[in-house]
Amino acid sequence: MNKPNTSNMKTEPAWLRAATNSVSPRKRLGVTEREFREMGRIGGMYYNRGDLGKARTVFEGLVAMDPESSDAHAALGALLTRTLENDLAMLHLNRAIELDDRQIAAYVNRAEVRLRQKEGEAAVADLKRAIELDPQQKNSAANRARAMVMGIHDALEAKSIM
Amino acid sequence: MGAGVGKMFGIDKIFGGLLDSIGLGALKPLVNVAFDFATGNIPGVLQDLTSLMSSFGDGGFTNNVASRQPLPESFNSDNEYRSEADERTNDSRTACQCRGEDDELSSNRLGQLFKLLGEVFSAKEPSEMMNKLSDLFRLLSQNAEDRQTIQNARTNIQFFAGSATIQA
Repeated sequence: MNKPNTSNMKTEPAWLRAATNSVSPRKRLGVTEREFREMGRIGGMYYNRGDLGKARTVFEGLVAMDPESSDAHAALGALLTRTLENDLAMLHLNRAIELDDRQIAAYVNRAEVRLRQKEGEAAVADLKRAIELDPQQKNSAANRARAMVMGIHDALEAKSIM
Repeated sequence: MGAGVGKMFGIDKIFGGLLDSIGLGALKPLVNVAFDFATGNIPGVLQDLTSLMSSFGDGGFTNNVASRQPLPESFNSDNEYRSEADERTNDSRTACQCRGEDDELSSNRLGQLFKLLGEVFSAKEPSEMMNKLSDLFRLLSQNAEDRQTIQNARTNIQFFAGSATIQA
């Protein structure tokens, strides 16, 4: 697990910078792994239900509570990808991957943002990594990456023929 | 390959089919601008993608594709990994008498966290971070109360249903 890359600090919101620079509230509150995950699942429930305001409250709170949690950054990054907030999404997705380079969901969402940012080849590299991390094809996020690869192939080939 | 990509994996259509169903119908125009067709190595990218697709097997994966931007597994409220992940966790820091028997986030435990939250933060703490944490706990507390209400309602229904059966 790597330390966060401080090169992004300039674009970080002030609250996130403050959280990163202090002893994590999670440690001070004694919140366990299981409790933290349970909170994340409540956020996930809101997210899956489409209640993105509440989901955002939960995910931002979890990042503030533990800025070293790859899961919290990946979840917030997913939500920001969904709301098309590309720059902020990239900040959290990059951080999620820095903290855990096996974070499949973050690679898949970062690929989507990279496509929007016209970084096609970098997007393909992220999709490739997500797929490599799930050779059994059991992970729905990695399977989304597979579907995206097929779509990109189809679109590229059609465009190349024209 | 063209339209044949879908057929290779037993799918009628990639665009207008699979990708639309998972909210990625807009991928095509994105791809058209994401790659530099003038100077980029498009044949190389296509070769990479073809090589990747050769590992997809019979396309069975299409039955389990995230329909929206995916969350990390451990936060996914409806994934199959939950029980497995729960079993793996053996956190010694859970030893706290204020937790519910099932070790979940009971409203009681959230009340404790709220109280602690007030105690651990000094007045110098950056207020926006504090607000985010406070919002989180308020929402979770509300959620826990809702769940408790639902549980109470279930218990009451079961009780009355039981009474009705006995009376009948």
